[in-house]
Amino acid sequence: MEVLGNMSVDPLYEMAVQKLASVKKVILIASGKGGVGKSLVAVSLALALRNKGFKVGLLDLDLHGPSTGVLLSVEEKIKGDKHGLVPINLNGLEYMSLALLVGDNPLALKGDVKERLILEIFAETKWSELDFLVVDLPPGTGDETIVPLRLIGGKAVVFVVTTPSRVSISVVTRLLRLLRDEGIPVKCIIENMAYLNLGDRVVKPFGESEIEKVAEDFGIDWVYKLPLDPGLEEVIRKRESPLSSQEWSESIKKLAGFLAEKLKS
Amino acid sequence: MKYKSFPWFQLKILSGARVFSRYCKMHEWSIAEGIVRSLEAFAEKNSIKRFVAVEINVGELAMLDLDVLNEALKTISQEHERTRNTVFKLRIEHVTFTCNKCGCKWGLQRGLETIKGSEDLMIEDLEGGYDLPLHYMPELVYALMRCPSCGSRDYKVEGGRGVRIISVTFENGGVGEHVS
Repeated sequence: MEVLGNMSVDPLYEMAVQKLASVKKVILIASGKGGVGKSLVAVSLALALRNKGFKVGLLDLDLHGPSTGVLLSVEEKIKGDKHGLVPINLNGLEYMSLALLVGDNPLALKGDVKERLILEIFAETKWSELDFLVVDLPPGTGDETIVPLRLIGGKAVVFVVTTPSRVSISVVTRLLRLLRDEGIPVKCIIENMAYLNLGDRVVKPFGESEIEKVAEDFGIDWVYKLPLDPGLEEVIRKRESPLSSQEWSESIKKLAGFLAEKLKS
Repeated sequence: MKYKSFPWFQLKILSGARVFSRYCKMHEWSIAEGIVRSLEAFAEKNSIKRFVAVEINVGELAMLDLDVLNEALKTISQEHERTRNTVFKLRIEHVTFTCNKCGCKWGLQRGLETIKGSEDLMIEDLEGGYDLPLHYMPELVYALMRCPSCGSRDYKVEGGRGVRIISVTFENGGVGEHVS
């Protein structure tokens, strides 16, 4: 018989792996930079995939500013069971966010807390059998991004969201280097606010895009451009689904169809 | 929120871990399953044939009921060959808080009293029990608790945060290096 002391084995990691066993594919929506429309893309894509008949979950992993609940007008309360927390069901879309747990309290999280909190979120959320879990990652390339990558590994595909702005692209490029170094496949770059459709003409508020060059440099096959849609904010203020905005909805539907088709092959 | 299922709540809001844990006993099973799975993974890496005894520190912040956790461990461990008849020794690890702004020190009971809007934050489980979010995610303490003296959220948390396997006594199954 032998004794091994001074250990520090945390069951959280195994619990998280176990909880993710019911999920076939995890789509990480990342940007490295805030304010590029990542949460809007995550919500819209999750809704569009659900509308196509897939079983979909949406996890808001933004530790400091979870905002997907605003976009979805969530008012339900989360409940617990023997296996942990049961995501709330929004007409077939399973949904989980820290905002469901802390309300409007500020998330004043210290650096060392973030890794454990992310593990706790994955370890305690009991998803059903899902085709897709869409994860809205927070901005940054710290623990918020690294821990989910480590945990999800082979099930993950990453969609990177940027705007055509050079400021955004410089940050996104750092994220792409991190993902390449970690061996995580980036399937798609989504360029949000790529153009504004004025009916008789199309305007590009940020000028000509460099995104194709970035995609080529990193060997990313899909570049998808989403419009700057002035109707979106009005839709959100009316507490309607982002997919109620016509042009946005059409673009996202195409993206969801494109994704579903590509992941089938 | 309906209080009918637990009238004690109105009388003793946030009076501490022991009160909550008497009513909320489901989550301990999920933790127990995680512990046994972690032991299985550890045994796999280290060629361990069977665990004889396992010592576990249970952070006070998660407000787990040790009796229920022990019962859950006993039951779940029987389903796995390497943990069958293993003796589990559980020990509460206490938590202390120190404010970085005013230097105040406090413990869990006093800290729980600072959680504002706690009734709205309570999470109902399927047995009709209610828990604070800390029961599921102890790291949310920074979002919920404040310094009882100055109200700051800038404080240190020492000890008592998670569940950790701190020592194992085992029968070795052959070759392999120990990895902790």
